[in-house]
Amino acid sequence: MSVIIETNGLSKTFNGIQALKPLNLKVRKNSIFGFLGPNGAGKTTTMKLLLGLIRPTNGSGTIFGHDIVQDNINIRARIGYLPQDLDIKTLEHLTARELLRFAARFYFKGPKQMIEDRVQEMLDLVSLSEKADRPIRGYSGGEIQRLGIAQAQINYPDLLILDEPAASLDPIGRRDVLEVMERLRKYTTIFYSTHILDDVQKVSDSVAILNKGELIAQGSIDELLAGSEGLIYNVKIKGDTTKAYNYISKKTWITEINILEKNGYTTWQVGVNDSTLAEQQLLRLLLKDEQLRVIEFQQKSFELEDVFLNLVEG
Amino acid sequence: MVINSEFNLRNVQGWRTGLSNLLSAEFGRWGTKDWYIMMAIWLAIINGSLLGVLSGMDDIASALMLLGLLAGMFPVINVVIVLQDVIIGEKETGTAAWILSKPVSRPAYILSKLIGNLVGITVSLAIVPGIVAYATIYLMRGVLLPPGPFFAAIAILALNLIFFLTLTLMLGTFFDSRGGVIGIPMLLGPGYSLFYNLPLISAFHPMAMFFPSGNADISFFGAIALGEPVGSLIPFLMTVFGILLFTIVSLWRFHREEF
Repeated sequence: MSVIIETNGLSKTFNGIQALKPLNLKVRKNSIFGFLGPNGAGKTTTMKLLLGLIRPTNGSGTIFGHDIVQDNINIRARIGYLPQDLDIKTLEHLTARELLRFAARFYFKGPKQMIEDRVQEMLDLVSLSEKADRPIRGYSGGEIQRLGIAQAQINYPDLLILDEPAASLDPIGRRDVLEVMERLRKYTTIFYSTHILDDVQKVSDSVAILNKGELIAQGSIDELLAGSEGLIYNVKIKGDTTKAYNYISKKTWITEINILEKNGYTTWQVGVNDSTLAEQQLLRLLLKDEQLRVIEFQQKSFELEDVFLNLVEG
Repeated sequence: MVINSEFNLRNVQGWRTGLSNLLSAEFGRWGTKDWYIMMAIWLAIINGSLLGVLSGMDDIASALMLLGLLAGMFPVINVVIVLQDVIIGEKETGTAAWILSKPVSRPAYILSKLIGNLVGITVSLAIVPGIVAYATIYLMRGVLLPPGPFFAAIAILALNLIFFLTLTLMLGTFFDSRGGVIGIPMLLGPGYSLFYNLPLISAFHPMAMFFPSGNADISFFGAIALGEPVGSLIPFLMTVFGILLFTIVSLWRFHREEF
């Protein structure tokens, strides 16, 4: 599958402080790529480098094969960008329709009616048609954010770069923004940053995790979840566990057993490094002791949050 | 759903990329209610004062000197107030970054601010007050001044305002706070009245065009308006040089700006 964004050792230093360590990133066409990291990790810096708003200290990058420094204007003609906390105070006297018309005219000279139709289509996309002719200054945070997505999408970009599109929104605003992103996924590649892990797991197919300016993981959600800590099985048992513990702990494919005892039950968290052997043998081994009663037996499903915290906190 | 190729697409090459759309937006700021209020205030100050002088015994040369002083010095305050926010305000709020994420060249961004404000300010603070002053002189004294020299003097007024416009714009590309952007032009503009009698300064300063220099009875502005011989051209040339220099430096500095 073709690559839309590619960076090679891209880095940025501000006043001697390295905000972004050499970054090698690949974003495939038509993916929803979640760029994940805590505040100050370097996500916005990366996006601004890609947009040509700041210059790299070292390294290089391409978007659609165009160099991000030398040929940035041609890149910007094919992308849409939503800045973090879109603040267009100097334009807040405009209505949403006027703002979208202004944005559209950076790309299109005319015909006038087609531009108006495109503006209306974007207003419909983000459900702002009813408020389209009111000044932006009266809009809520969620409405501004949806308008931000509409202006970013006005040129049907081949790439949408969204910086924290759902941050600072209430749950309904977040849901609306994620829905819009879902609707757009069939038309464009979306590269977006966030620190809301739940959102990433809902809409992304690929993820990169950045921490302290450094890329610490990159891959599909499934790859990241699978490669996080190996497999863990949660087992809840009643009875004397000594015998079962003795023969299970000797198996080489068992990496650890954490034990928790509560209300007459014993809960084991069994770490394994071979999923096939675990599937075939683990439960059978436990049931060998006929005095033992297995109340629960299930593979633990990891959330992205577990992976993220594990990677970021080391 | 209309695909992009069915539109008339903008050309995205070179320094003019995005200029026409930005200029449309900048021109849209003028001609608003606020603009008319601002113009009415300056008409009242400049032309009201002129009316007062012409109602008395003063001759037309004195009236023209006053027109030059009033219209040359005080509207600079307006220029600085309007322009100080043009770059810094958009840098602070993220509007500049948003605009530059579109297919817009950096020179186009600066030139749109320069041209848009230049036209608005020249019309509201030089051309309209100039026309009203011309009519006032005719109505009060029955003298129809030769229009060529008079409006050449109005062009000098405009040039002076453009000097401060480009200076403030340039400072906006350097500073991130408003202190320097407002303070420096204020000191150089209205502040000139504090040191206009220092020969080293008055020999070069653009504001010297509105003050009688040396033993002359009339200012550079007054002499131009009346079609009389002018004294030193240096302040005029410094004004033109300053406009060019500030514009070039603004373009250079903004090209290096990071958002």
